[in-house]
Amino acid sequence: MSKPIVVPAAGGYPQGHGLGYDGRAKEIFGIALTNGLLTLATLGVYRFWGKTRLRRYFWGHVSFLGDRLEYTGRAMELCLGFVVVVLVLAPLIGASVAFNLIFPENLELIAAKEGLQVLVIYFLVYYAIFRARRYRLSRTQWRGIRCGQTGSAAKYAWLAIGTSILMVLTFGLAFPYYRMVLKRYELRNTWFGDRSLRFEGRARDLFWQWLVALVLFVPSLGTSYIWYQVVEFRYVALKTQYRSLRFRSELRTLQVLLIYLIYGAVALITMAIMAFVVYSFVPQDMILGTTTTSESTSGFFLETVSSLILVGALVVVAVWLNILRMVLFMHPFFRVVCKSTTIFGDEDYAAIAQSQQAAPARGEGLADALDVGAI
Amino acid sequence: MSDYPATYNDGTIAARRSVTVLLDVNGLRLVGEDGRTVDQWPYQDLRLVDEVFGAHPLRFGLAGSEARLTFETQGIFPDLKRRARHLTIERRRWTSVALRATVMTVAAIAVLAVVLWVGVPRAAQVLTRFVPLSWEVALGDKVMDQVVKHFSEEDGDGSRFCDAPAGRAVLDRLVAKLAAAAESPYDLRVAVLDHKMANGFALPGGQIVLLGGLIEFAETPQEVTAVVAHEIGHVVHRHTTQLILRNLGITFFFGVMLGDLGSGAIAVAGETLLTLSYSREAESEADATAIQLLQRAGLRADGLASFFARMDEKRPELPTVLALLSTHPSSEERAAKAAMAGTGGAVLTPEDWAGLKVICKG
Repeated sequence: MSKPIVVPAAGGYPQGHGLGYDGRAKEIFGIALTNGLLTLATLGVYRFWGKTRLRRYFWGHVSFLGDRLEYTGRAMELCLGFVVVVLVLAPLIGASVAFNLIFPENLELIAAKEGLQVLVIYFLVYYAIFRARRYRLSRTQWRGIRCGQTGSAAKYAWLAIGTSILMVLTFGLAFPYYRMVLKRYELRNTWFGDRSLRFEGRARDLFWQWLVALVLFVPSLGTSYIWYQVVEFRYVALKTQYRSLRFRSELRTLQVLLIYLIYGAVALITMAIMAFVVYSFVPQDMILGTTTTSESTSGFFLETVSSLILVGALVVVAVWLNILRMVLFMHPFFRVVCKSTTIFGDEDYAAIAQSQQAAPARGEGLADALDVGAI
Repeated sequence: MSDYPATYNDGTIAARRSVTVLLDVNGLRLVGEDGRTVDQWPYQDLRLVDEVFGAHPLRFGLAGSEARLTFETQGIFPDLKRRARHLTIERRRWTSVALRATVMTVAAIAVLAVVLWVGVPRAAQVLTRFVPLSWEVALGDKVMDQVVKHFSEEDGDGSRFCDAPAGRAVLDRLVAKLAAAAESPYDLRVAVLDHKMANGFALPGGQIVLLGGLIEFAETPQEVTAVVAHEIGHVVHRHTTQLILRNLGITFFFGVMLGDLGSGAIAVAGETLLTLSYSREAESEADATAIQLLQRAGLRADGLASFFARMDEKRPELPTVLALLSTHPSSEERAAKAAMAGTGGAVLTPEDWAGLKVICKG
């Protein structure tokens, strides 16, 4: 195990301890590859097991004060959460389609419904994010003590909608406000053992940085946004407290940028190679979608084979990109975030007791269905 | 017997405690620095917390507890393994992975097959019964607009309806006769579109579209009548509505079920195959109804077999493998059915037939 950095006490500061991360790309590649192949072979069913296995790996390689985090979630919980969500979503989608059938002529009514639908989906996305966070935290332990999350997912979603509207009205200037409102709600409802975190961040501290990022967004080809995110991350760490413990992050924009660049470049190369393969084997009119009905059996046969190649290529690319995301994105991200984080304070860890809060029984189905789950 | 150093978290507070672990007869005994026994962990309740890679520390949990015991080295393992046989840190062997994968795959395919070939179509059939006729009619009008648009774009110069008065009158009489036999709740409307393709289709809500090429291609009035009866068969069974519901269900199922892993790609492939295989069943049903209708109306039913047989001749016969993918029942299947239909009266007088033939020439 790599030695975490110990920052000695100096100038009135209490002693600091770094977070350790000792995951290996080779091992993550092995897990991600197995996951990809099994997910493919089982037509998607294995993905809950795959996700659980990866989380167990990532969590188990993050350490603080010599003890590792632990992920205690079970794949079956994810699977059940997913089934429940499908059962809830199906009638909703059915109702939406039925609505269009009942009022096919009434365009105003349909437009109103579509508007409402956008609002509902927006609401559900944030609802799902909060619920998924709750599940993940409730399955995260350190030294046998559970994390947890209180608060209401509906309230979180309304906060997100309210501040998003404000953001639109101010042409994006209120973005730090939107971020801090959500961070405050997330962090103040985050628990470790029997205590929650404290968070004192304010949007006004980030306003000028955001303005700079906004102005430079186009000339910097979007990298100013990454810079803002890193600044915000450091700020949030600084303003967060747990009991007597304080957090400090020295994450640098360049580190994050490098991860994005490498991951992006490799992903692009993969897609280019695949596009070349498809281009060489599949008739052009198939790709362009201008295929005409085949007049002969051989034409029909060719069409079937071509579409199989096309579908196969898309699936292979999807699997490969997922593997790359784990090895070239999640893994280095875990590394730079952990290695740049220090936790200060002389805490009496024996005083931190297990919480009696109930943990959710099922996991993140909605986040899975809406595809907003992180890893 | 030897003892092993470890760290212990008791599962109630976040403290870390150094302990010495002894292997007793029934379990691990955890001894604190003061020499007192801290806890005793029965072998059968021991669980490995992490998947162990290389020289990873060993972390154990106890069933039903959140206490943890961590060994920085794996030295205890050979000793422990002899007492707690259920523990293993060996990588899962290739054969067992392959076995699990195979079992899961078979199970997934079975579930998928049942849901897609039985569950969704049955659900669509049941749901179709609850779709009010007025919705179907409204939907049919919408689809009709699409159909007209589709064929005008294909023609370039814009399609028109064939409405030569003489032909139209003949067609109306024919439809009225079949509609009476069908006792359909729909107001059956048959439109003829000026297009060279020989084809016909049923839309939701009782609308039927014949393409001009079909009337030209037909050699006898029986053949046109049979096609109309066949499409009425689709209408009374509400096949199009079923098809729409079923495709919605499949799209939803694939999109959500398969998650982000190339669901789009698989959906395309799956949907195509399923649409075709469903139509096959529906076509047979429509054939059976068509024959019934013709018999009830006292008309000859031999047009059904002859028309579709000639259609197949025009198209090259598919190899057996691909026949499964074919939308229409084989001509042999159709001929067999039509042969049972016996004979009925003549369908149209020669003058009427001549009038119908030029419905697009008006």
